[in-house]
Amino acid sequence: MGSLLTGLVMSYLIIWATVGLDPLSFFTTFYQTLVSYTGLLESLLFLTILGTAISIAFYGSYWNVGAEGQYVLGMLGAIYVVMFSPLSGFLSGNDLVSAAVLKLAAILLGGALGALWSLIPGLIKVFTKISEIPIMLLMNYIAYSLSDYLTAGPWKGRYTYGYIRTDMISESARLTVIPGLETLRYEVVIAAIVVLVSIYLILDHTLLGLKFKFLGTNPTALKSSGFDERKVTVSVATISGFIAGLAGAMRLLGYDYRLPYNIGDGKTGFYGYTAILVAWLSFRDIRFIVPSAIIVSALSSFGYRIQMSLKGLLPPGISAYAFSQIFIGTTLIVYTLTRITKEFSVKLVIRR
Amino acid sequence: MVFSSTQPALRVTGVTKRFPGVLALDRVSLDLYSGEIHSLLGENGSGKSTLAKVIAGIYVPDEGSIEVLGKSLKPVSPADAINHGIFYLPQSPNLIDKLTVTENVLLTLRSYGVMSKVKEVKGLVIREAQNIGSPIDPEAEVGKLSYTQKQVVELLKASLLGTRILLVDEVTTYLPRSVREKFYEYLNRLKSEGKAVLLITHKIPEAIEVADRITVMRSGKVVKTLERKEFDIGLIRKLMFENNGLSAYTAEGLSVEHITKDEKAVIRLEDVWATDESGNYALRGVRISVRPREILGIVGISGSGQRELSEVLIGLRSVERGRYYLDGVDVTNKGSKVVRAAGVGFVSEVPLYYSLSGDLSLTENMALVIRDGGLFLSLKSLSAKTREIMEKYGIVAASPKTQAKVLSGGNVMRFVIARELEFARKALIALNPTRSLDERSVLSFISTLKKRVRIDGLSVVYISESLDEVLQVSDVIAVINNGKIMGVYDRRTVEREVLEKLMVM
Repeated sequence: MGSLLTGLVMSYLIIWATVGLDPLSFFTTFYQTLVSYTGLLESLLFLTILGTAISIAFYGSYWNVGAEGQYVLGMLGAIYVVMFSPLSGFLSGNDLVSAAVLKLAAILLGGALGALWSLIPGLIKVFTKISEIPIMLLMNYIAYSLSDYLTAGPWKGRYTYGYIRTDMISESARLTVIPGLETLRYEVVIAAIVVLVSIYLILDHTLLGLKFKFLGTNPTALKSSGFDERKVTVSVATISGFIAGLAGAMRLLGYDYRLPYNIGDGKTGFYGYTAILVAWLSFRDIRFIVPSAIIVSALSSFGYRIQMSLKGLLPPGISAYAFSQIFIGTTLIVYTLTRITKEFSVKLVIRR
Repeated sequence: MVFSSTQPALRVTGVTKRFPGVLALDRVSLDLYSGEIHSLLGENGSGKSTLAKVIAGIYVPDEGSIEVLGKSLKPVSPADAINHGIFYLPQSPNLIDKLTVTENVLLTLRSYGVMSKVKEVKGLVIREAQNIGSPIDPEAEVGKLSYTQKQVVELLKASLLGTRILLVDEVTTYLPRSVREKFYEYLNRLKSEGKAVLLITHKIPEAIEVADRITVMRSGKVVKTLERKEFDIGLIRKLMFENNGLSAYTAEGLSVEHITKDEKAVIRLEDVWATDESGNYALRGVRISVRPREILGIVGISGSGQRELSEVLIGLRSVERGRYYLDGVDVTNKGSKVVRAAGVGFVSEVPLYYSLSGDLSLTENMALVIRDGGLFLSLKSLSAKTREIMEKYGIVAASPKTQAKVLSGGNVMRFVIARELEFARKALIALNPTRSLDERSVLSFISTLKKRVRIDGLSVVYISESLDEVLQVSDVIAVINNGKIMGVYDRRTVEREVLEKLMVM
């Protein structure tokens, strides 16, 4: 916590030195960010789910930088089920049971597509030894394009006031708003808890989790103990992709309700990328996912708000966005350094 | 014994070092004189390496003082020690594989401001290597050198830095006999030049052979320092082990009953060919067979294909040609899963590479191989099981939760041995299993192994570079040379000379 505050002060000093933002408005904005916790909670939940997805992959040395694409695939899966699949016709009734079945099917198909999207680079990795990282980064763009193709083509909406996008999903297919906490959905809260707890249990109480840990720390020991390294890689890729897809599906059913065109233009909120930060910040320790997600979502939200305060102060050509990034970066660097020095005890010796 | 002065080159007084849960050094004092080879002897985990690392500035002591030629030295980093003429020769060389010999040496010299010209250093490397008696190509990439050559590069660094006090930490453990003798010669030369050598070892014969004085350590304490005339193997053993049940572990009287030849082989390789990482044939038509209740010893000089052979046997390496039968079933290139499922244990010379994850706990490392079955792990029972095995095999660690990498080298080895002996039902593959073990652990291992063979009918493939050990352990002995089996002999009738000849042919 102390390190976070230090980072905060340091980043303020940088901003102050360059544009002279007064401390009052800087820290008032920070305070406001923390107070308006409902907005934070929303991104916190998604970052927790996605951060867990990426973390479990990191455990098994599967560098899942493709959560963004898997997330988009999850959206596609969900909207397909509730709008275009035969299932949507059968279950369009307003009874609660059929709506629940529909939503569940949508979420599961979203997860399955996410898993598939992660499985492709996973299989390429185990059979050709080509690194999964560049393939996943490219596949994120393929996912965007696929979504745009569907949005502008077969899935193009009829009631969109001329915009290129899909129609809204029916009311009965949407996730349930929590009364009093309008930014939250029951299903997302439950999913975040279930995902976090089950991954924790898998890692510490199952053979599969043990295999992941060995895959990430000494694959040779895994192999010599009679396990197929390739199978373990494939399973870690599948689980990770499934969870990311799940998050995408819930995003669509709970918040977006439709697919926009040019989805790669920031319309996903880049959650899949931001969550990488969460996974790293947790130092591959599942217990730190939630604290890391809190930190990252608070910082992003604050970074966004500070852009408002900076308007008018900035010299032409420099965007407020750059400053919010400076702010997030500085704070995280200070935080990371402090954690590293705590864990590894760095000794500074002055030599004459 | 000739000491150049009465003032010691190095004096350690009352040094204490604690690690979480362990008192590694307990008020240790030691004098090291110029012109002597002083052996620091003790079993695994007795604190020898810790003491050397304290002297070398790698660890900072909690208490006590160190003096070099009467001047107090408070090393807070290895650089301090080096500036005082102390050089620590570690068991695994600290070199950068991607750089050449000259570049590696240059890197060290530069950081101590000794020398900076590539040409000059190259000349020095050639000259010094000649001096050491082991010529070396200064342009060779270090990663491609043998273990011995890498240690020569470390010695080059030591010599060029003007080292007066050389700390040698179990370096000879990995060296073949002939190279070891050359190395002793070199140490004696250093001695005659008035330098001080601290030779850390767990091998009593080695200490007796080279040292002028021996200091015995046990559980972090100095037990006694002996002058050359007091050297006595029985006495030293007693000091080292404090009669910790050593007599129970004599390897005599444990010979294995003879088994009739017509019984079906448990492990059978037929004309097996396999390549190493660079695609050259490391195994060329290997044929072996091991019956139940039989220990097949495979002996050969380092790099004759032993590592590849052990990897084929456990299913880590695929073969290009030939067949591998386990209990009559063809398991050629079926992978380690099938081999392990048949109940084959595996103990290798580098446990943290082949067998364990250093970052994970002992319980987790145990659970990977010994499970209660099922997809779920019961941490409680696994942890209890781990504790039980630790006690049974005398493994020193704070708790089953301890990370494997925190254990001393000997304890890591004993842990893997324990796990694999507990696991093995059908057979055990051992690759240089005793390399980092002290005498008592070796005897205890061999005795347990023989018991398992006799009582449970285990088949063992015992691959080793030590002929003595193979002669002691095996029922049948095969010699491997350049990837070929040169001959298979009955232990009871074979002449040592025959085997030696085949090893170097």
